[in-house]
Amino acid sequence: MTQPLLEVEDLNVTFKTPHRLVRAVRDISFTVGKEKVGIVGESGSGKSATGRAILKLTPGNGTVSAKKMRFEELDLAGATETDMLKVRGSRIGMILQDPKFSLDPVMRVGDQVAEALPPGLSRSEARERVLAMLEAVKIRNPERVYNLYPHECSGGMGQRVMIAMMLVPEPKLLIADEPTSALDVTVRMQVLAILDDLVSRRGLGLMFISHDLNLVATFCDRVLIMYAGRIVEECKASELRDAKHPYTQGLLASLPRIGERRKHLSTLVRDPAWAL
Amino acid sequence: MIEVQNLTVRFGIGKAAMTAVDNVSFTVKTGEAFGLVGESGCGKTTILRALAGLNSNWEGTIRIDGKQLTPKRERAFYKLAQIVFQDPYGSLHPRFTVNGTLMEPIKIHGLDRADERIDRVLKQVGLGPAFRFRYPHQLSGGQRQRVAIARALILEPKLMLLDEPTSALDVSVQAEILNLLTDIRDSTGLTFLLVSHDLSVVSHMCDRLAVMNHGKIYEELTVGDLVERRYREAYTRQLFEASLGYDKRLTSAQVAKALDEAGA
Repeated sequence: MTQPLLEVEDLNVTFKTPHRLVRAVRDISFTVGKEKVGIVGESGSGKSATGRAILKLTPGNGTVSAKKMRFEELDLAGATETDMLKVRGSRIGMILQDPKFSLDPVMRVGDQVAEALPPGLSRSEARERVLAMLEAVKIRNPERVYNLYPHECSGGMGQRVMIAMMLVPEPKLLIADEPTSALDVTVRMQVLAILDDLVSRRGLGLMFISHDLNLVATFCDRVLIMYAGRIVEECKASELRDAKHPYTQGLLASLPRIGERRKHLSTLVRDPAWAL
Repeated sequence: MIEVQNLTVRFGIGKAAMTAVDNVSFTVKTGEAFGLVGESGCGKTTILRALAGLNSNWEGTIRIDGKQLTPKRERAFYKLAQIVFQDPYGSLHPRFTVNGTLMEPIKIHGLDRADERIDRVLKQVGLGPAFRFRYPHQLSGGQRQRVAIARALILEPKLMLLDEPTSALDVSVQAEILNLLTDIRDSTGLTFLLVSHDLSVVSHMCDRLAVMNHGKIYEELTVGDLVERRYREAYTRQLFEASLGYDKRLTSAQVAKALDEAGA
């Protein structure tokens, strides 16, 4: 078996608040290869903190520790800020939830994508590369879109611009934190299809962070379910329906489904033992 | 309970004018739960706000409980119809305790037995009397939404307007709130008008639904029809399929075509 892209062992993220220490992520271990790995959990389960810790983007009041955090040949756990500058964006990309807040509002989107290009390209070369990338994310009229400002883009278009920007430096791993939650359902599927296509064609690893079980089960290859900072279950996405952990089962049962006439949805009874 | 005929709502003037709701008609029977489904910007919340009296700039006819409504409402109207908003973090006054929030409608309508009413309504939404003197920041999202529901219920309305009541909540909390709404409807016979982008939530809660897009109602159907996929509109099928999750058979070519058509 080839070595996975990312290997994490006993990762901990702890935040210091005025009142207490919050252990957002506790001793989790996982690997990501050239595959789509979903991380699901409810708000506060530590899924986003995990994604940020890998890129060392944990805010100042948080501390990260790990027995092992390796990306390709690089030891992320021991990497300095200077090392990380060479990793962020160029080798590990991150797609955030809402293009409205993550694109620069006063800069044309094409120029923003161009910023991700390696330095030393001529203006026309850079423009060509950006246009090709916008086309790769299925933007039909790249010349027109290049000159738009973020507020002139729809949500789906903005998110495709973000994806284009992240793919320009040809990273090996993409971390997508709720990349489609701000989009309408019909556009969401299309953005996912583009992402799916690019990930499989370029042989990337994708860490897909989401609260939507249904989506993760149908989109990803493998799923990690987080609860209170721990991975409580790991399974193939296709087998999520047969999940073993009572938390996963409870979450699945609490979802309303079309065609299932139940008077009451089952609610989740949280067992304090899950959080131990 | 609700009769809406040729409702049109426009925003802006001159060149910037846009029609948010375009000549929409529908009726909701007393005791029924009716859903308005659509994506963001389709006009579903605008309809709800016009019904609730939060937007007076509309044309057409709205009848609620047999009475024709004017843009400006009398106080009695608000005893008849109450609204629950999407975001429980934004819809409660941060410096009012639960008691203060619930006292407000009682004072406005000059109701008696305030203590008794507050205790009863808190019990009804599954919060004990211990919650009465807490502030919103001391409550979880689900508890806040229960307070918002209590605030709507305390006037004993006949019609409840629900604007995405669970979309800001985690799924396990969503289940609790939806169950609470089911129980309230069972015990009071309230009429529900539920606005949501989530087809599965609407199909769980409602008897009938209308699918909206670009300010128009594309089609009206019963939940039974939806389940059996007896829809006429391609748009309804798109929403339906999207709610089932990601389909790996989607190819980029199809996607590009669909995105073009949607103008997204």
